[in-house]
Amino acid sequence: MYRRLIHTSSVNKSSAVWSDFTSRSKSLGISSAAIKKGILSGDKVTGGPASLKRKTNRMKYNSPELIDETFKTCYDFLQDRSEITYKYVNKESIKPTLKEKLLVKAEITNPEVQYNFQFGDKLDNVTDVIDYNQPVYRYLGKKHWESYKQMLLMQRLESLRVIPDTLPTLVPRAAVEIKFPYSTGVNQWIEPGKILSSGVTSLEPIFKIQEFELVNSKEQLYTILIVNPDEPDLMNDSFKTSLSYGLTNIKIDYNDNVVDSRKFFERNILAKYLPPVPEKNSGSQRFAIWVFRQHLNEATGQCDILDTDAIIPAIDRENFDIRDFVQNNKLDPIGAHVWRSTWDSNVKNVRAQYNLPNGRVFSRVRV
Amino acid sequence: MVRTISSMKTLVGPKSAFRNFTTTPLSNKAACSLVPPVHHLVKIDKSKLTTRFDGFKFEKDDIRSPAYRPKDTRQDRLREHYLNTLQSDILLINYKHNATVEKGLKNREWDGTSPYQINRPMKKPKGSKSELPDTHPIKWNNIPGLKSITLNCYVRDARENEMLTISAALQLQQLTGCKPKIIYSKSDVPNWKIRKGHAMGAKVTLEGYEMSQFLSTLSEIVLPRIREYKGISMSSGDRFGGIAFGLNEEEVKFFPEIDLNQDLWPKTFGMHINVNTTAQTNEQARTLISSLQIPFNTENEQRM
Amino acid sequence: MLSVSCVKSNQKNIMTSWVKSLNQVRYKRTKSKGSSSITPQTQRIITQLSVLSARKKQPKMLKLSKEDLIKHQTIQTAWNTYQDILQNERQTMLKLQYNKMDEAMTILKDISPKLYNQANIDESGKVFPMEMRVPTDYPPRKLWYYDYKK
Repeated sequence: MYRRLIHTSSVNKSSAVWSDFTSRSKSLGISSAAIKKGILSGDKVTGGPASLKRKTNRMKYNSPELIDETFKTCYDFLQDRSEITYKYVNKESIKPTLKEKLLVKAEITNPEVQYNFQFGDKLDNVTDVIDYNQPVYRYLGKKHWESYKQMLLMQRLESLRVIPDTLPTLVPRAAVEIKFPYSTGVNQWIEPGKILSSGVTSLEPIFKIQEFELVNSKEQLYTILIVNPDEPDLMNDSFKTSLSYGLTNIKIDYNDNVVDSRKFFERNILAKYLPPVPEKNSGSQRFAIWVFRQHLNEATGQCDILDTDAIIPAIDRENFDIRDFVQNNKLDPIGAHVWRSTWDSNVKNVRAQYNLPNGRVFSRVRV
Repeated sequence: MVRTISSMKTLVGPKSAFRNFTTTPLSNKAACSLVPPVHHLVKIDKSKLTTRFDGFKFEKDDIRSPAYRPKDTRQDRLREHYLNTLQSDILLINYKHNATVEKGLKNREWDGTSPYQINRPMKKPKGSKSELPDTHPIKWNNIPGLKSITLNCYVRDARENEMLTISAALQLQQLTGCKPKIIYSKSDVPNWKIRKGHAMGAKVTLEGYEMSQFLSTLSEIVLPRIREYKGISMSSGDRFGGIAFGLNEEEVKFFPEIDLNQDLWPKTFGMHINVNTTAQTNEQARTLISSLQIPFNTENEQRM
Repeated sequence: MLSVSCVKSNQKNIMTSWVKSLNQVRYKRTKSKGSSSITPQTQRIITQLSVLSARKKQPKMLKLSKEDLIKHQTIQTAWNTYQDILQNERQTMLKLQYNKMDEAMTILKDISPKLYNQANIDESGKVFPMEMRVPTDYPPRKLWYYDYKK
């Protein structure tokens, strides 16, 4: 039976959906010609796999027996099935969500897509290799994010009590990454919950918001808030939440989604960045980053724009109620991040840089 | 894009506890350890978060995992026969027009005549210690099939010489190609000189290809060579799709693995063979097992 | 030889009787290594255990290049997809068979109740004939050796 199926597929030879790039995105194929040839037509003739850099390694390498021949039949088989799916996609006037699902189904078995995703950089993605405009890469990206980073984030948010100390909970839907500018010395994406020195956090961070769901990226606007729920409140012998940074009405794309100074102007800033300057002996302070989708009016297809002129005067940065703010402005939390700061010897320089008063020094008192 | 109901709910969730800025005095601390509540719905797999043992993060069917075992490496003759021929036959044999679900024995309600019956657990069913499962009519989606085979080798002499269990385990491994487990006695029985926790034999559970391989060896080589073999007793069966039979230490010698180098096997061990199927009754299980060339003692049945 | 060893053992006794020796003294090995202390029965069990043990039986892990890994995954996906297709096909065939049987019996019940009753006799527990064999590429000429003698 298998023979028969294989036989018909090789005789028909009609489908070449995966090798035809006239209407498909370039990112659905492997950019390196040598590797593409090695996968699709075998690398025995070319002298070993092209992904191995050193010639001696290539010579030494033995690939499993008959893998190329078997791969060929399997590739044809899967390609035929993909063609059937593509016919469905093109034929009917189907719902966008179903179309997205079918497009994922048609491409997920494509070995070139798998190669690009598994060995390409998923975070600083090149659109020729991983293009998140393609449903299949969004799907793979979501699975990859869920397999590690989402769990790590939720574990940190829970164990550091960011939820419910800031917002009650989070249903994560977008991957949020932060990075501080290179001039501060740390040029890498920050793991959630890291304790950062005051020098690193002295300039405002860069955000990367990776959407995996089907959103109207032409209209959708985003709001980003950084709050510090650990500001000492001596009057009440407790803590209060302060707003460290706020951006609003930010527009991002599936691929162009790094929010830095190129992405926003003065009118997008809800609150200018105030760096973490913890006071001595006040313990470590959490800085929770919350990313929200703004409310999209379904009837008009327009996104509600937050009126910054009206909102900014009403914001009390020292005693910020994030839950009220979110509710009043119809914000939908989709992602979060957190870092921690403690007092260190550099705090006074940061305070001087931002013209902040000298911090208090707390000490234990015997009662 | 669209605010879902779940996200609306997020805004009216639990408030955080009040925290004092001054160090908490001892009296405020809980005297017992509390399980902290979880505020989200994401399932966290801690084994994926650790930075150690990267190889073990792959699924077991991933070739990069150290636990990877290739599957479907050979043709499984017995399984193919079952799927191509036997399934439809068994469906036909078990077909009954307008068949309905036969209720098994269930726990009985109290009649409510006495106030002491309130909140009492229900009465045991009549004629059984526990509830029995329902018997569903056989349709295309519940045709009886093989689940697993357990070979159980209990060595009575092992109570004097525990080392015999090793020989028994080795015999099972030679016959099946799977790693057996040593079995231990569960309780003290002074009359039989059995002590609790003493190694008493070995067992192995076969599934998939190994099961088919063992069954075909049994039915094609071993059973035909047993002199005057009558077949499995018709009374064998556990009522729920399991059928068991035995081979004694002489009959075990007919397995080619032992037969070919008999001088290596001065002592062989008899064993019980438990065939577990997805059949719901003894009859269904018998039909299935007889289709795999294993004889049943039908003459005896007729005489009785 | 004998006398020397006697002297040595005497010396040893004297040593132990007076003080505990600080340095351990090694004498010439008189027994051959290992086996003499092990009885044949024990040796047999050791061999059996070593056959049972999984040590050194684990095959070496395959190291695949990136290309081969992708090829392997593609082959796996194709195989699983194909198995799913087969499974669905079989299920549909069985479902068709069941529905047709049901349909035929319903009609038969209306047409001829006598034949219907005969067709609806409970056959559960029916045993397959021993002559029905699992197909092989090379079946034997004689199927069952009823009077097999060794």
